[in-house]
Amino acid sequence: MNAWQITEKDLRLLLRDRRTLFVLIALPMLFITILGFSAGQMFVEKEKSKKVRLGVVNYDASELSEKLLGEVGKLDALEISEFTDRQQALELLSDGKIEVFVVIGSHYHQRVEELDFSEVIYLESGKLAGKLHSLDIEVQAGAFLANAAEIVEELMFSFAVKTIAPGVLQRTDPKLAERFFLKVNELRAKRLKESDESAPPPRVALPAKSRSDIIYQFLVPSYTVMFVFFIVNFMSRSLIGERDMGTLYRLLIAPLNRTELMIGKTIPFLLISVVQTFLLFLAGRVLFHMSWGAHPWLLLPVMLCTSLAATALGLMVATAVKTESQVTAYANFLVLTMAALSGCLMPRSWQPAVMQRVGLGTPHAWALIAYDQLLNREITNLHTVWSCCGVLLAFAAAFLIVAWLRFRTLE
Amino acid sequence: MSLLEVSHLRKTYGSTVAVDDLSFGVDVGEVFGLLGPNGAGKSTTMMVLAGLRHADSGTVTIAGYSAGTGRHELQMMLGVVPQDLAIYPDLTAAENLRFFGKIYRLRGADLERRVGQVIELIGLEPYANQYVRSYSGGMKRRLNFGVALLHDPKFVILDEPTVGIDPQSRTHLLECVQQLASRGVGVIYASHYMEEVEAICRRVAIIDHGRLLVCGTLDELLDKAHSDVYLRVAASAEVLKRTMAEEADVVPIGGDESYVVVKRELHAAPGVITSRLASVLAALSTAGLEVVSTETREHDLERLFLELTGRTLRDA
Repeated sequence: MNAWQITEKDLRLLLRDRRTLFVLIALPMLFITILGFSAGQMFVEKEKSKKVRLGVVNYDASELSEKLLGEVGKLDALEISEFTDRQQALELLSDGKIEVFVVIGSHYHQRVEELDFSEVIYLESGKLAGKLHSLDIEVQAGAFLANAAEIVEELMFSFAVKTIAPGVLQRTDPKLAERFFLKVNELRAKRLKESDESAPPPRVALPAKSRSDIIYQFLVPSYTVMFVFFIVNFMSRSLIGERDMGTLYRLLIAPLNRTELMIGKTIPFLLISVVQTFLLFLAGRVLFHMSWGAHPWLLLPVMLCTSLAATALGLMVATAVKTESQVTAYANFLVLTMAALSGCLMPRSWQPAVMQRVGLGTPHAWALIAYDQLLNREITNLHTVWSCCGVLLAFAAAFLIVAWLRFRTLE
Repeated sequence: MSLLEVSHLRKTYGSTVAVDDLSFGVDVGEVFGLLGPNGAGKSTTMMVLAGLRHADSGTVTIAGYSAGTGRHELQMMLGVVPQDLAIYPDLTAAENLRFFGKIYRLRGADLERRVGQVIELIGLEPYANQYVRSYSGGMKRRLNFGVALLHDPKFVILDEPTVGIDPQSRTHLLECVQQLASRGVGVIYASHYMEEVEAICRRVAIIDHGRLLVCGTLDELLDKAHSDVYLRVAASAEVLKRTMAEEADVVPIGGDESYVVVKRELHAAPGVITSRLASVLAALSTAGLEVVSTETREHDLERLFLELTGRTLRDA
């Protein structure tokens, strides 16, 4: 079959064209590395920023207020810094060094001592109706986390009630307190015994992945899919090149039918595309420690189907454009738009619902869904993976039909 | 029967008639010249012959096969040298030839033998393994020519194969074309270089606006038995132009001498040139001007071409 002669020749030309190889293989790798490093750093920062930075000024400095701060400090979500005066905390809040600060007034322990147990039970009607204000505690948040003040207020109040309740009960009704604590201890002992007997097997800790490693689980497939579709550009240029060099004329009058010519022009780019995808995934694994998921072999059909869709689209575009400048204008625009719609540049889940649906009109999106199933899910939905492969093949078939119709009239 | 038979060929693009009722034939071993100004319909004719375009009407057969049917037998016996280069600059000459040889179903030792023969024929032996992009214009043209001969075609279409090359390469290519013809290969040769066509073609067709203007052997077309008469007269061109009025052309020589040219139009009726010469001599005699010498000059293809197609610039 003469198609192989075209394939062999085009592969030879492609392998000699170092710039094309650089753009197809080295550039995406470089791109993923740079983005990975920067985005990875961002994620590390994010981990830090997830903790609300809370400043504390404790004018009370009593055992009660220390107990309260001890309870609050057990929360992982808070990063607590203590300050000696309110003004200092206020300045740090203005500078954005802390998001919220709490001032425990010097009357805190005094207000607690004035409480009756009933007021600890019926919070809405007694001395605690004013919540933290009743306890001489003030919470203030910066503009960036204005809503956090309310959350921290509720939190502080809960912790305050939790820490002061036993003391108040002991003071107002010692007998009830004794009975209550005995009952609590009994219950605690019983629960401990039960939990020892029916203790579940110890959990095997999975090797922890850092956030900066996890980012590559998204970046590598996303940018691989985007760059795979850049083959459209090179296929178009290849066909335009044949036309400009006059060799298309020779091939069209040679004993070679159009289907052979079309297949011959497609296979080299399909092979390059599959190799490109594989190398990028390999780089992802070796350089960025990305996981290939529980079913690494299933990556192959997804890679192949994606490359088929990309090369078929490339062939279709190649038969539509006439000049290099048209390739630059239309092919690049098409590839970048599809990449943006499909979630290659930004996860689809971040996009509005309507754009998520629009994105499904691109083969890229289906490739990404399949890769997401294989790379990021604890339990892979194989049906989804195969469905995505089916849709990618349908895209490839549709593009090929249009390309073939146009190829028949190629001059 | 001719190797190539073109009969009443017509091809239009929308409302533009590119080729209109064109008929001619090319025999085995003949080099046939196809001439015409830009936009005359030569390239369209070549494309129909090559099977790239379909005729609206008329027939084109090569060795009995209808052109444009996509039959492999026909494609295998046809060699085409396009006007523009049609080779891969990032392959070597040998790789180019091997690739096109394989496309034409040559394989193994047969392929290597033909590649070697063609490289020798086009004189590229020392450069066969160099990238074509490093070649001179002449070397590229020779390779472009060689690719068309690789599969040993029976009929070769040459569309201005010598554009922009050095005299050595041109001479080499023309010799190759004559060698092909001597081996029985039919050749149709389109060119703007009249001296090339005169040198290698036995018969010539001149077309313009898609129509055949003349077709025949060079002797028939150039009417070589008859010539223009040049009278060298001892007078300035201005004086002679006033004296001759519309009777004859005047060509200044320099100094006080000029030529009075008594032209013979193509296939002029008997007696026309004699009476024209008589009236020119009478006018010179009346003006008292002396004829210093006389000479005759044969018609050439360029003169015929310009006479038939006019001197208006063609940029199409």
